[in-house]
Amino acid sequence: MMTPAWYERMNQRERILSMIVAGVVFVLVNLFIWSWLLGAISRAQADWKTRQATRAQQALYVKERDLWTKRAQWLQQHQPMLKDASEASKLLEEQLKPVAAKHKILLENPQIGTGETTPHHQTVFATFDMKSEWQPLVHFLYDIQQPEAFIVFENVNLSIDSNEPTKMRGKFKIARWFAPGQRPKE
Amino acid sequence: MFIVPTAHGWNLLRANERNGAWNVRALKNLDEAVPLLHFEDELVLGLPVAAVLAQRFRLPTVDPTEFPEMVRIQIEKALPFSADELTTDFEVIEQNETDSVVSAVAVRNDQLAELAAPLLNRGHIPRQVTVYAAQRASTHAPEVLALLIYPEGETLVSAITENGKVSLTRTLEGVQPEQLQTDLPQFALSAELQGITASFPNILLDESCYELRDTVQRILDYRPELVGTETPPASIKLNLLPESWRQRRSQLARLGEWRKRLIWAAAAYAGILLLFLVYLVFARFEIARLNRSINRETPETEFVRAAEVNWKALAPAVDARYYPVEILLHLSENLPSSAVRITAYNQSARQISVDGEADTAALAYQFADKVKKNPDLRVFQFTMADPRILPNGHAQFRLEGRPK
Repeated sequence: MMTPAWYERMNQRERILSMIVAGVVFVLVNLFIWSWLLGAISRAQADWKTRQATRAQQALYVKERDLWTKRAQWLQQHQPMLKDASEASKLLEEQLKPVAAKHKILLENPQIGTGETTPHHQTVFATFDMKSEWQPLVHFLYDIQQPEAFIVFENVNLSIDSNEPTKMRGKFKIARWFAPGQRPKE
Repeated sequence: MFIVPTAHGWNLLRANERNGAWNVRALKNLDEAVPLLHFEDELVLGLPVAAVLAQRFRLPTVDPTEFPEMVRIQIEKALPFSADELTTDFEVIEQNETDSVVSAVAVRNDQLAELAAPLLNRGHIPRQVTVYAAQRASTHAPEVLALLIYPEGETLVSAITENGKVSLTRTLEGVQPEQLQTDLPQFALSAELQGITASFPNILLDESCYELRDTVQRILDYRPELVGTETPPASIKLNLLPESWRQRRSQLARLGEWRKRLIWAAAAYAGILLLFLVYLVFARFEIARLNRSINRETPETEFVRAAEVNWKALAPAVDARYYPVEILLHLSENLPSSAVRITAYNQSARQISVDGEADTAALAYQFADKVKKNPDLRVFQFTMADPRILPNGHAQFRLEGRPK
């Protein structure tokens, strides 16, 4: 085995210096290579995991396609359409007050309004306070909210009446969620 | 592997790895040997007689430890060169009870370096430098007195060997019978003066000098035996490898070892790097494959995804698990005892909170634990901060639930 002539020509000091320089260059080049490689692998692994999750979700969607088709059809058929601004008073007068009266619950400070519009629903709401014993309140809550009614308790504050511990005091914001003007794409 | 001198220049002898036979390659000079050598070859260089000085000494000792120093003194006396200029070695020819006869051979370092320059310049340092005549003698006449006559280069050389060791050498002036008629008796006389019996019953004549057979017989009274190229030459102890060559050879061997280690390390490193690269390529390939599958399935699943998003957005209206009456029912079912009471309940479309009071903090934790494990409330993720201990020892707690 021959040592190269240019290496033979160097003295000891030059050889040490050249080895140090070569070592530093080697380390730097390798740092760059490994940094790039490990970064690329890390990004690829993250991408891979994301794609796998997406693919698994797609498989689940395909498996549950019938279920979601039925749900979409059910929503299409049952979610009410907002006809005009009187829907809020209809909610209060035709849906909330009759049920409250049935269970002898007095609605205090009733107010109505139009709520937020999202891609999924348009809202009208009624707010009121009430005071009642526990039993009638439970029946009121049960009767008001059914899936086909699309009635949502957007705010409920219930607490024991400090003056009459046998009674409950409540503040409600009850909304009806109508179909959006343009239904979400299905 | 051997390189030995011949009439035409040199012979390179290498064992065939497959069948063990020896291949003989004729070379004009040592430059031609360089391309045929490998760095790992264990090379034995046989020197021509003309390059060495052989002397026969009788030493007054039989103690082997005294031989080197005695030989050195004798060589210095016999040759007009300093010890630094020569490389010497010796072999014991015979011993009796009081003294020993040794064959000492010396070579001038500068002459050897010049002769082997083509090899040295390319880093091929022989494992052993010896004398071809000694190799031939050890092969053909290992235990007798013999006279060797064979060509080296353009000249004919003769060597007297005892027990396979070279005692005396001479380069003959020519190959004509008249010249041999003069040279050989003189050589025999010189041998006699050195104490060597001048009668040679064993005369070894190289087969290339066949035509001299009768002439030699007429001169020395014994019929020469023809000998060919040795395949391989015998291994002998005589080694004229200079110390500087030995050190350089060790250094090159160490360098070679380090080079091998470096190559292995580099190969392992490159292998690891390659593995990572292959993994990266594989990952990219898999991502591309998944992307194709996802893109193919997307139109089909987009409707389902949209339906799911819409359903979840409307869940507070259509999913009974979000109804206050259902939630209150399940909360009350999970009250551990009458010692835990719900004092306030708040719900927005997406969040609930339950305030309560328990006789002890442990009961509050028990209630929270039951609520968290209740399958009917699993749409919510419940958390509870540490209860506040009231002056009466009761624990006031707040349990908050957010949709998962």
